[in-house]
Amino acid sequence: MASTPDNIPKENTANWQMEYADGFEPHFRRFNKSYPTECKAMLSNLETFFRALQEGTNPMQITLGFIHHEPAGVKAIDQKGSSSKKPAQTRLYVYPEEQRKILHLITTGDKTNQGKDVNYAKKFVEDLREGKSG
Amino acid sequence: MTKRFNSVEDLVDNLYEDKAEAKATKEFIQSKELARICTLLRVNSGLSQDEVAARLKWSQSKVSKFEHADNKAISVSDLEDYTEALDMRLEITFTPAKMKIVERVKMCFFQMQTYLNQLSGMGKKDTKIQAGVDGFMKEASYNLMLQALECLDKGAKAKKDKSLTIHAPTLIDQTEAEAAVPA
Repeated sequence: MASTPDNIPKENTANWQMEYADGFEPHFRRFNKSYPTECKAMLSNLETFFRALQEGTNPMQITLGFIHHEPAGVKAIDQKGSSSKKPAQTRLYVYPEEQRKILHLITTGDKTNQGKDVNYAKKFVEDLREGKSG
Repeated sequence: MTKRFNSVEDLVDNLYEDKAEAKATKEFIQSKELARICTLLRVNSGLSQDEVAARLKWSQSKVSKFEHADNKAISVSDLEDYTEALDMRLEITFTPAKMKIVERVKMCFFQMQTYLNQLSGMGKKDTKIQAGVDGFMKEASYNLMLQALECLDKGAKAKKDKSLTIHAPTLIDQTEAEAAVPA
């Protein structure tokens, strides 16, 4: 197009993709058996976060109520919007790698192992930055 | 090779071995689409939930509840208020449930025609505005033709095309055309 008026919404400006960290897939399937409604809600929130990335929003500037900012750039997506009346507090830990436009899905967890999960996710990012993983 | 996914839908199809559960998960995600669109508009505008809450005179928790609501749970009134808080206008279109793509193209064309006719009437009392409208009309005609030809070309390539005769509207000003004719 010769020109684009300012008030037309921008089209997808970034081709982000999602990728599992090692062990994510089997871990999620086990976790889903205990927390199926929370997992659905976290995936719904993941959809929103992923679309925000696709629209070119800087991951650090995405202000979404279900995102918790953890160390090393890790984001924890929670279960807000779950259909359960009293959902458990669960997290889907992800890392948006801006250079290659890859959203890494690291692990899932509940409140009991939160500290351990955050450290695990942080280690994943550190290894990724050193070229040891991803 | 590590699997990569371009969409959460593809991810769900891969993650859930039980197809019924995968379907239910995708339906759940889809059931939040209206709230999701609103949330993304807010994020795009750079506003936080607190800022939108202040504009709306809602509590922050009401904004949060709205942004996670089911499609069917969102009232038109709340939707209107929320979009207004983002300095946007809500437009609602009704279309037949089984509308064909060709009919959608025609509908968009007639809608565009309406706006272009409105635009062409705007410069009648002001030559500066008229010049701007003329410039835009030329650009719009060119871009529309170009886009249509690109789409046609894609279809034609698949069929190993025959040659095509195009009757394009002139892009030359009436005054330029008259000036070019010798006296």
